[in-house]
Amino acid sequence: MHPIELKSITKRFKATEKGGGEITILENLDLVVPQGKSVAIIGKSGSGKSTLLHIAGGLDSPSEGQVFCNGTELSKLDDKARSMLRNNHIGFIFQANLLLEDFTALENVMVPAMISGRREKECKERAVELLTKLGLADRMNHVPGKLSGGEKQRVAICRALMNSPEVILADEPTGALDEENAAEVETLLLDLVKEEGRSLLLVTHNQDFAFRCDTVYELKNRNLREEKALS
Amino acid sequence: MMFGLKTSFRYAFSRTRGQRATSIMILCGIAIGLVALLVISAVMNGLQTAQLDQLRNLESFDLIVSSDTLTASQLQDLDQVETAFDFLETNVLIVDKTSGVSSSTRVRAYKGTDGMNVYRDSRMSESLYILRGNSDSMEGIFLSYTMVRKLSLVSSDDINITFLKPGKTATIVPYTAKLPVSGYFSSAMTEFSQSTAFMDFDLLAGTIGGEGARIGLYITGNQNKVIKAILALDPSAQVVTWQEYNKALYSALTLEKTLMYVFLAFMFLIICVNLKNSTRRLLANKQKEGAMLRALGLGRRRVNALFLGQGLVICLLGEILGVVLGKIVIANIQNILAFVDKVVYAVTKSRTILTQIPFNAAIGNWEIAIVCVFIFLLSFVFTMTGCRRIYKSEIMEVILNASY
Repeated sequence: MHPIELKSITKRFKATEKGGGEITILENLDLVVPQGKSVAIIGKSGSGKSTLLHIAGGLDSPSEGQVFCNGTELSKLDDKARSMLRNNHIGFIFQANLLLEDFTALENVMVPAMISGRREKECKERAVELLTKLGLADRMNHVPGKLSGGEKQRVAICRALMNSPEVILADEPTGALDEENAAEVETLLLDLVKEEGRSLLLVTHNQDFAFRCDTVYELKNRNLREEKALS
Repeated sequence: MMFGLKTSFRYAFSRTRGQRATSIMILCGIAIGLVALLVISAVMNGLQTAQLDQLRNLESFDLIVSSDTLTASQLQDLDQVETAFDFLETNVLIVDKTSGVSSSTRVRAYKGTDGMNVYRDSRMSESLYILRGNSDSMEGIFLSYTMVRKLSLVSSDDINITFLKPGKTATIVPYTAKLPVSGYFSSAMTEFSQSTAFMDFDLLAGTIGGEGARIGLYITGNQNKVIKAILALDPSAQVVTWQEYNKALYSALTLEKTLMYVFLAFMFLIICVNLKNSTRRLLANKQKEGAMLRALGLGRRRVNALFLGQGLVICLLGEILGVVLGKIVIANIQNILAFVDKVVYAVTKSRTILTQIPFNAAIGNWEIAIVCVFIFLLSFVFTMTGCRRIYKSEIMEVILNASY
């Protein structure tokens, strides 16, 4: 039983132009993200990396195939159960950080825990701890509009870690960061895998970052090709 | 729960992407629409009530009884009867002394029980004002001030009045009498003033005979119960209700009321369209955040509830503002109309009719409650349908394709 397992995944989109039929992005694809390991997916822009990540996290549905999270097939769950699973077991880090604009950094980090019904005081303590750890102690009462790109991404990481999820799905987490901040975020995510035993599914263009992961796949011609095997 | 409420309120008045301006626009739209609905209803209600009160006070009373055996004193003793009095009515011709032209009018005479002055001591006094003369001892004829001016008369002038009275050889014969003008009156009903004169009951009965006398009643309670009691005393009595007596006018007022509701329904429709479009905009502004919250683990229903809360917070505040403003406007409607009249007069040199008609604008709390509940329900429905449209799509589809 793996935190994330994809079996025979196919994803088709309707073409935007009239009479364009369907475009197949992923075809008959298998992927396993083992417990306590990091998996990176690299590939050209538009190859379907982000789509694959979204399918793995239950944010998008495959046209065919099955997605398992700790052995539970996502398509068998209703919206409430699937939402709970996302809330408790998966932490998302999006490419464009996607923070809630009306909430401060602290409140943004608290959101997943508030959704799961934990007490506000408890949530606050954990959020402060995470923000302090990521060097945002003096920025926690700022709204996203007042934070730099790097700070926003760190807030998004804190939010992803808030409910101590088993698996973190990260879509270009360093894409919008300068070298220094990017290196910091890379180290932080890989440390979480090594030290806390979490799993990481990473989508990136950054080859160096990808090859620091345990396994690397390249998404090419609608399927995955192993570039670096789990040792 | 607390997270949902807090987020709903924050979204309702979010400073991002003009959300606050949209919310305030919706809030004001609801408030203004509600004010318009309440004020129009109140004014129309007031005008109709005033009109109906005048009909019942002056023209027809609540009930008119024709009976060979019953007397006003007997009916006065019935339960729920406020005032009972004899009344007599006949058509006459009054001759204009300057032009010599005759004009038709009707003469009425009332006689209260136990020496009561009907003009002064009954509900009639609410709509009839004796401007000159003593209604306790009517020696001549009381004309309306409108008629006095029309006929160029002054008090104590004699006028020639032609009655139709029972004759010896013919059934009805004309009889002309010279009577002094012993008083003037005015009333809230222009038509009544233009067509009515008053005389002493005994004097009129002595002139035309008292056979046509009927009994007028002002009642306090259920009209049907009083009719039942009258018929129990005299099964052959004929009782005419004020609705029957003023059938044409009453039908017109009913039609007017129906049309008013149709008109208000159109206004309501305009509010609905505004509410629907604005609610959609509110949801569109936050659909991406809604999808983000779903990605973070908030279920579809809870996200719906959150947006529902946002819409209902705005709706509720709009309604509170609308009801408060509406009540203030209704309470000061006469001053507002007077101001409007001044402005209209300054521009057009003519007066608006509303300032010349006495009425009390009023609206029942249940009417306000019904309108508010409808608007609240509409807001609920529009938010729900808006949410359903948004959540037909996959989470990432919304996040990637949302315009914001």
